[in-house]
Amino acid sequence: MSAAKLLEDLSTVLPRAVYEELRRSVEGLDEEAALRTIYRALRLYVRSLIDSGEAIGIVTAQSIGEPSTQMILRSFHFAGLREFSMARGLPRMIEIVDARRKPSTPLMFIYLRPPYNKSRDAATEVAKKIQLVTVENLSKLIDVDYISYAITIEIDPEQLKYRDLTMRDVEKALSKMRGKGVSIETEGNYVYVKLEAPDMTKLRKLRDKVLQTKIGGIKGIKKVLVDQDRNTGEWYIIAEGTNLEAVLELEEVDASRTYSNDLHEVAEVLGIEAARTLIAQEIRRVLQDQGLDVDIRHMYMVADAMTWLGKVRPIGRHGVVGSKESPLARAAFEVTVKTLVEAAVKGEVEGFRGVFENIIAGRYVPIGTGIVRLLMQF
Amino acid sequence: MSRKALGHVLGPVEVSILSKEEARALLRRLHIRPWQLPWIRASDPLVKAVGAKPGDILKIVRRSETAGEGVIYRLVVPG
Repeated sequence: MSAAKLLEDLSTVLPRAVYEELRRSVEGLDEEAALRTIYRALRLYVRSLIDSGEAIGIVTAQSIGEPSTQMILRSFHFAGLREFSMARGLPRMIEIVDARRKPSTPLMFIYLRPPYNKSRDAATEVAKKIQLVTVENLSKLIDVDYISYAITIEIDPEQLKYRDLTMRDVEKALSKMRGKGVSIETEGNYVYVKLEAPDMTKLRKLRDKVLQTKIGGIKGIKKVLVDQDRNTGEWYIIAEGTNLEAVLELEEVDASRTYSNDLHEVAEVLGIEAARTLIAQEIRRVLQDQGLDVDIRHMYMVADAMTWLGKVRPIGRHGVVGSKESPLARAAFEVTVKTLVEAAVKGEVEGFRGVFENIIAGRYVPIGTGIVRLLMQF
Repeated sequence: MSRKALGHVLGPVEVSILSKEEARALLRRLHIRPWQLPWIRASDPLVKAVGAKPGDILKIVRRSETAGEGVIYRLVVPG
C-alpha cells in the first residue's frame, strides 16, 4: 500500500487535527520514511485511545475537583477596569455547574464590526447606543408630593445632550402611561405626573414605574465599558447586564463573536451546542485564572453531561444526578430519607444497572472489565 | 433569528440532517436506539436554522481543541 493511499484512507478515520498533523509531517518524505512515520503515528494514536469501560466520570470529577480545592475563595475585580467586577473563582464555578438561571454578574462581551472596532470613539458611540437610559438617569431633581399626589421631575439638559436625546423622546416614552387616572405633562425641562386617585401605594408604584421607564438603549444593559484587546488592538464593549437577543440585532455588532456569560440565554439564543462550548470555556477560564491547568477534555465531559438532554441542566439533585434511574444512587447523593421513602411509595424497582447502586450492594461494578458479561456456550 | 446560531464561534462548524438510511446505519453501527443519542430540542436555534423536526437526527460538526473537529449526532426532540 502506498503512503498516499494509506493517508487517504486514514482521512476519514482519524480526528481532523491528528490527520492534518500527520499529513504535514509526511510531506516531502520519501515513500519508505513516509510509511514508517504513518505506521508509527498510527500505533501511538491507537494506544492513546481510551479503553472501553474506563471510568471517565470519576476521572473527570477528580480532575476538576482536586484543583478546585486549591482555589482561593474570593471574587476579583477586573484587572485595570475598576468599574465593575466579574464573578470568578469558586463562586463562579459553582454557578456554572449548578446552571444558575441568572449569573451573579451577568456580562456581555460585545464585539463590533469594522469600522466600529477601530477606535475608542467609534466603540463608545455604539456603547452609548446600547446602554439603557431611564428617566432616572436623565433627571436632575425628583419631587414627590404626597399631598397633591403629583410627581415633578426636572430633566438635566446636559444628560439629554450627552445621550443624544430630546424632551420629545422623554415625552414619547412616558406617553404610554397616560390614562387610567394618570396624567403626564411636559413643560420645558420639567415632567409633571399627576395621579387622580388619592392612593399612596399607587403613587409610590407610579414613581418607580416612571423613573424606570426606558428612554433609550437596550433593556437589561446597565453599565457599559469600552476596552481594547491587548493582542489585536481592536476595541470592544463589555456590558453589565445581558440581552443577547437584542444586542445581536444591531448592525454595528459582530454577531458571530458576541456572547454573554448567561448559560441559559446562550442556549436559547445561540443553541445548546454553543452553550456546551460556553460551559467548557467558562470552567476553563475559572481554573486558568487561579493558575490551575486542567485538560480541556474534562470540561468537555462536564459540558456534554450538562447539555445531553438538549437544555442546560445542573449537575446535582435537580439535574443530572436527580434524573438517575436508580433510587439507591439518588439516595446516596443528597436527600437520603426522602428519596427512599418516595421511591418506596412509588413502587420503584432498583435495576442495578449503574455504578453506584452496585457498589452499595457489593456486587461487580459495571466499570472497566465489569462492563463485560460472560456468556457460556456448552 | 436562527441565522445567528450557525455563524457563531461558540456554535458548530456545520449541521446537517441525516437521511433515513444514514440514520439507520448510524444507529446500527453504535448498537443503540435513537433516544440514547444526545438530544436537541425542536426549539433550538440550530434546529430551526436547518429545518429539522422531531425524530430527525442531526449530524453536528463542532470545533474541538483536542481533535480539531469532532462529530456528534443529536436526536431532535419536541419542546
